[in-house]
Amino acid sequence: MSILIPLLEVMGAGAVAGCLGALLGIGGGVFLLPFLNALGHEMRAAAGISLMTVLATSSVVAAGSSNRDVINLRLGIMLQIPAVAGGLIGAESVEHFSDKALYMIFASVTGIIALVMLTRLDRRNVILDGSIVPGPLGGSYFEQESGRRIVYQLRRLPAALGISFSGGILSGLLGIGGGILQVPALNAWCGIPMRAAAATTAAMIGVAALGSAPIYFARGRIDAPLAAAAVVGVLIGSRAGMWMSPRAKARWLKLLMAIVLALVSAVYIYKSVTYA
Amino acid sequence: MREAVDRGDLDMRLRWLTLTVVVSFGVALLAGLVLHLASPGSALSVRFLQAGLVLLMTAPAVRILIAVAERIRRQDWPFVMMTLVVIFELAIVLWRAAAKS
Repeated sequence: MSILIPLLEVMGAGAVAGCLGALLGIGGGVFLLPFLNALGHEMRAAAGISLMTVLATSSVVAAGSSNRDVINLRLGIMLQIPAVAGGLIGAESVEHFSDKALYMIFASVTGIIALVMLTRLDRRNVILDGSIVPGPLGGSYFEQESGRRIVYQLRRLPAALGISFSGGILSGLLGIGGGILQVPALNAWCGIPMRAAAATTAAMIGVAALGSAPIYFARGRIDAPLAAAAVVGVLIGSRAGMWMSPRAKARWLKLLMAIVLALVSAVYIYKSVTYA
Repeated sequence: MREAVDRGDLDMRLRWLTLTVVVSFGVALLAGLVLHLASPGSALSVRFLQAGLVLLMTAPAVRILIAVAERIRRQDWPFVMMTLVVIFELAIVLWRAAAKS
């Protein structure tokens, strides 16, 4: 019985995190990490488990054929070049960071995301011009709702590369997928429609996780039964989240999440400051 | 329109491969969990769980290899170059990981 309870706890944490992540389209890692910490798993152990769930969700998304058209593989692969490098740097350097520092980094990330969400509450999408030429890294897809082809161009390539690199480092340090930074950045700064940004990121984030996951695995940092339980939980949770997302009010959801993330941020600032 | 038909040709034909990897990591992890619950830390459960995690890490790599094969066929050289850089980086990651285990 005693071995069942921790597994169920982690599976439950995975399910809640996966559901929230799918509802918001940002991946569950940012919610899974605090849950795992609260259950008594330290930062690096939690990061290892979280990385495995990132890999699993990404593979399942990519294997589904429903949004093949929306995934911009060319842009996706280009962004993996800095992301994998960042992941490796993060995973290699994480052992040199104190828990105090990792708490502070996580607090900053959640704080920034909360702010980004708040500033983008009413932002629906970038304005699209039908006569645009997609260029080498842009793309096009068919939008069911409007019944027309959406064509877009990539703007500010250096910003996209920089964000992917930072996302990679965070993924290596904390085990959260870099999608939480990449999706809003691609949409807001680089002119990629939200749907294409989310689908491309979701499908490719597994590749970015490969920059750090093997290092965690080789270090023996990944508790296999817990990771398996978390993966099962996240997959179930994200299914539920995807089912719920068309039924939830996006604005309130974003507001709620911004508040939750701001609270998480405050807790981690406190944890970092009081850490002995 | 030719482009649209061509798009995803090879990765549609090789979809069974990606799906197989996804299903196998799912099965291996679930089986490992059940075995672990039946007898915690048994050699068999550890083997299944480890295999599941390794398959989990193999899945994105398989997708990249399929993507690059398709783009070689379509002679999309910029894409092939970018993918080769990513594969090179992943080789470094594996080398660093191997040095640690």
